[in-house]
Amino acid sequence: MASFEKSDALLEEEQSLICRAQGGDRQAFAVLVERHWDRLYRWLYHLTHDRHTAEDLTQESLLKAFANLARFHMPNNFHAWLFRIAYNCFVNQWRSPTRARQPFPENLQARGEGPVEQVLSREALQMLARAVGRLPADFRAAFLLRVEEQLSFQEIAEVLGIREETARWRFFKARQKLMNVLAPQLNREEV
Amino acid sequence: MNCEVAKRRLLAISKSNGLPAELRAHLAYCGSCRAWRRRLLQLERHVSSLPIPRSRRKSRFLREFLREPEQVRKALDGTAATVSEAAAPTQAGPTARFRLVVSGTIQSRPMVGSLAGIAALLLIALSAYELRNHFGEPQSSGSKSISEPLLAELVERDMRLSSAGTPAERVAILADIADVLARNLGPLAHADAHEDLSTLAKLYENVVRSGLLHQARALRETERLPVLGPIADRLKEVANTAERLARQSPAEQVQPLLDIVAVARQGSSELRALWEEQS
Repeated sequence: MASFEKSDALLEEEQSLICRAQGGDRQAFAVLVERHWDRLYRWLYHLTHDRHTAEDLTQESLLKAFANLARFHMPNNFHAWLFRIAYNCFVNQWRSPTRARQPFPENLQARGEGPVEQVLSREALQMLARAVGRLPADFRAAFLLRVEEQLSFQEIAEVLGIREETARWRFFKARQKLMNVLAPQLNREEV
Repeated sequence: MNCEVAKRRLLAISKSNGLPAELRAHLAYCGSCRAWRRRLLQLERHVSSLPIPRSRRKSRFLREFLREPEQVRKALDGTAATVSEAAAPTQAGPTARFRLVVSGTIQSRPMVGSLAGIAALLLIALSAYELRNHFGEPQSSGSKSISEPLLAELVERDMRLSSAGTPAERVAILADIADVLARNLGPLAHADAHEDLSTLAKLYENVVRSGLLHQARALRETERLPVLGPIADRLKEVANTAERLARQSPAEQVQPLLDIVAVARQGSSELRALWEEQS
């Protein structure tokens, strides 16, 4: 599980970068982009199922973050703040009448035979990807923020603009749906 | 506690540590629930390994993001100091930064030839505009109500502009930006928002004269009539609207509106000339 928990030193460095970026230092903001792009893109890809749309939204989110940096106040979680902007961008795009509906990609390229795939078969990984992709977007968003980004439920609620109890509920339902779909396959893999 | 309740509790608890005693007791004697929990944790471990296509745009985005101030300096040619101040940390405050960018752009060299400069200018000006709003400078209700959506719309188009590959694409996006700015004339013309209206007029001038007309000249001859015809009509409509607003607005709002009339009329007639000269 990817962890986004930061050491004190890293957090201090990030706060210093944010301060410099708030003062107009583009190099400092570029470092922040370098750090956060991949995670934002990954989450947005899971929400949109389209590389170009996810890249567009990542770019848009970061530009909006730059334009609104003065609104960010330490010691809030900058990572969660970026995700909140990204979610707003996603929702705007989602509501757009010109949005092209993206089906779930059926032929995902696996990352290669890493240790994970030695544990879980490619077929199971594909099933997991499909099951996550078919969760309702709101549930998927909350589930991934918890599992991949390790945000607290309060932070998830802030990102998605919902109450903390709703964030907990969506996470619960997402897990329940995934287990209903995947438990039999995981059972077989265990045997 | 039965297995169904235990599973529901497990679904609600996302950290592996800190299981309630009652649940721990159930797991201690129920092998089926232990296996079920193991699968749940296994499933989540694998989520972060799900393959996704690699993003290829980060480096390009960073390159363009870091290059923008330089492009602005080049575009303004002679106002480098002014724009540097706008892009760098300043003691003067966000409002001053915003004014520096816009006044430097317009007064010293209205016919900027660089498209990238336009994109960068829009972004920097809008960033500062947003900062100004945040710092709570007194504003009219009219300008406050339009600032957020206007910013969002322009940022979105600004990004599309930076990745547009052909003159036809760039012309379409620049015309769209001009439309977005023109749509905000009404609220600003009637509000106590002289400064915001002047700023909008200057941005409009930059977009039309330095961006749209410049790119229109790069269109292939066969593209000119179908692409430029509707845009010329829209510019003419903007000129008529701005003229009508100028007649109805307070005295201090008139000049920026007349500036827009002049720019839109000039834009419309120059676009027409471009397709007429080919026929």
